[in-house]
Parts: sequence; structure tokens; C-alpha cells
Amino acid sequence: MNNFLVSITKEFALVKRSGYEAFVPIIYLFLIMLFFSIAIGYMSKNIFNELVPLFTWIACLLICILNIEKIFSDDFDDGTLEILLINFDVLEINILAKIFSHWMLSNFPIVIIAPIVTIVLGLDTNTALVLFISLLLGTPTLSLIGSIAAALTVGLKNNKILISIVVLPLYVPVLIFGTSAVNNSYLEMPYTSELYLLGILFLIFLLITPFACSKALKISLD
Amino acid sequence: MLNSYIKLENVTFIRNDRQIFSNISLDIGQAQIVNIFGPNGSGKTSLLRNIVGLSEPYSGTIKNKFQNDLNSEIIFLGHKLGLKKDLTVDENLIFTQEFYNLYDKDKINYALTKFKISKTRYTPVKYLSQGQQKIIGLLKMLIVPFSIWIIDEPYTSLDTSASEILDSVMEEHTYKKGAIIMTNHIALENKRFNVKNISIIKNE
Repeated sequence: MNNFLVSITKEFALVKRSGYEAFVPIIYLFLIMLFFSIAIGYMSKNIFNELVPLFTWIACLLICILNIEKIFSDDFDDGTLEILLINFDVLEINILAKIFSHWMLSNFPIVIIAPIVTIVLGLDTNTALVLFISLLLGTPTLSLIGSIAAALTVGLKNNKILISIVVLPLYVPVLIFGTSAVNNSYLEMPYTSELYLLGILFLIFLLITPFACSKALKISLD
Repeated sequence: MLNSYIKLENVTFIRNDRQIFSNISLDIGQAQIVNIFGPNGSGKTSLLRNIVGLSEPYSGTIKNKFQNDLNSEIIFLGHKLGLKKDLTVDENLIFTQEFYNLYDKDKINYALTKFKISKTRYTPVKYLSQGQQKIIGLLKMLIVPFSIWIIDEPYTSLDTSASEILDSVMEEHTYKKGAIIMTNHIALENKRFNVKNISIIKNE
């Protein structure tokens, strides 16, 4: 537990030093939402409102892939990862701490801001709330899945394309459940089962990711 | 129970169908300093990575005395120093200690004054020179009480005075019954400590 906290403090200290980098996801979110609204602005209000939560979900998913390789690549470049791997008994907890702080710093801000932006664009508050909950359950799963791909490709140059290819099929279930939850909420249909499924997906990946990551890192650094 | 800290028996390492080194046997015990030397590409770094468990040997065994708590007894300093360039020297050292559940400011003070770089304490590591960064990397050995130091080319990019300080630090470590395994391009002679030189030949 202590190692978990130390690792998180370190990640936060690093982001504090890196300047404006923490705001990149938020700016990307605003850009995508703005361009999308302009592009489909000529459509009728009903269609537009139906599309808003869905493209918000897609925007958040794309932003999640944006810097997922950063979870391990910085540590790989400066050698911290080797020290982490030698200390194998705290490896899994450190990996979880890294994934958690990555999600906290690059995904959690958009989870909070995205529903607010959709309300500004005219969505009803109930659907915005469902959007918030589905993002809150869905984006950690995206981070967990992405970290496995990042761990597998950490030693490679230009690993960004490979990560996207590995990750996208695994992101599809999350996207399906997330978007159908908000869509059902918009159409005033029951949506709790989708949220439960998102929760189950999160728990499954929470269980397997630390072990999958540590194995993948060992292979990548061998 | 083994008498020695680390024992290698007939270790052979193969990478990409090429035999990097073969049949290396080594025995490192208390207060011993071992220098592995050989030309570039002879597999010195690979041997160290095998010892710490980052790579698996093709055949042969590597045993250590500590079994499961090896990690808190061993430090591996490779070519990459494991320092965060954006953080200051002080923060880097504190995070290193915290990683091992240790909080000891005195040790950091002592280590910094020993290598005469206390002035750089609150400077971000990225503003330091190559040699200074190397010293900060080496300081990790001093601020956490490890028994075994495994260092890849400790003398590269150090100046004469820093090398001498490093020698004395290593000598002190043997008084505390610690062991050191290091690599160099050349055999170490005329040092203030006893060193066992082991040559590693390049396989063509």
C-alpha cells in the first residue's frame, strides 16, 4: 500500500513539472466536440441531441489512446522500469499505481468535463449523468486494456500504431456498452444492465491487468 | 544455505541464435569485489542482467542466498541510470528511498557531501552534466543499505577525483561485508581494494 502511494506521488510530481501536458486531453476533447458540433450543426435539433452523447463517447475513447504508451515508455527510457522489474514483489502494485495515476491525470478530467460540455450543447441532465457514470466505469477499463498493449510494445520504436491495432478490438465492447447505455437513457429505456456490464468488464481487467502487464514487461525487457 | 551471496554455475546465454557467453561460473561472497572485463559486445551487460534476473540464461543455474527478498538486498545500476530528469536531485534520491520504504535524510546528506555535489541538491537532474548525473545514479547505492552492488561500468564519465571517491566508497562497502560486481573494459589493478578480475571473451 505504501508503495502504491509513493508511486502515485511520484507520477503527480512528474506531471506537475511537465507543465501544460496535463491539459492536452481536455483541449483535444474541446476541439473534437467543437468540430463535430460545427460539422453536424445543420441537422435537426433531435438528431443532434441524439448524436451528442455518442460522439462524446468516441471522443473520450480516442483521447484514451492518445498517450497510452506514455504509461511505460518514459520509465523505459530512463531505466526506472528495470529497477521496478528487479523488485518483483512490488511490481504488480506499482503497475496498478502507474495505471491509476495515468487515468487520474489524463482521463479523469475529461470524464468530468465531457458531461458538462454535453449539457451546454443541450443534452438533458439525466442522460448527461448516465454519460458521466458510463465514462467513469468505462475509461478505467480502457486504460487497463491500453496498458497491457503499452507493456507489450514498450521496447519498440514507433509503437503507437501497434498499440492502436492491439487495443481497438478490445475497446469495442466498452464502446458498445457505454454508447448503448447513454442511448437507452436518451430514449428513456432501461440502461442499468449496460452499466453493470461495464462494471464487470472493469473488474475483470482490474484483476488480470497487473499480472498480464508484469509478464509483458518482463518479455519486453528481456 | 549458501555461503556465498551469488553463485553462477556453467551459465550460458543465447540471444537471437547467437551464443553471447558460455559456461561462466562465478562465486561472489561477503566483502568481495568482482570485476568482469572484456571487449565491447562480449556480453558483460548481459551477464549482469542474468544475475539480477532481467534475462533468463539458456542453461546453467544462478543461485542467491536471499531467495525471495533478493530485491531489497541488490541494486543494479545499468547504462540507464533510473533518474527522472524533470525532478531535482533531492527528489530523485528521496523517491528512491521511499521506494524501499526508507526515510533517512542523513544518508542523503552524507552521500551528497561524500561525492562533493551538495550544491546541485535542488537542481533538476536534466541541468546536470553527464558525469554529475552518473554520480547521482551511483549515490543510490549509498542511500539504501544494499548488500550487493551490481554496477555496469561505474567509472565511465567520472573524472579522476570522483573515481577516487568511488574507490573509497567501494572499499568501505567491503568493510560492511557487502559484495560488488562490476564490469569494465579493462582489468582493474592498483586499486585500494582487492578485486577479482574475470575475463570474458567475445564469441565470434
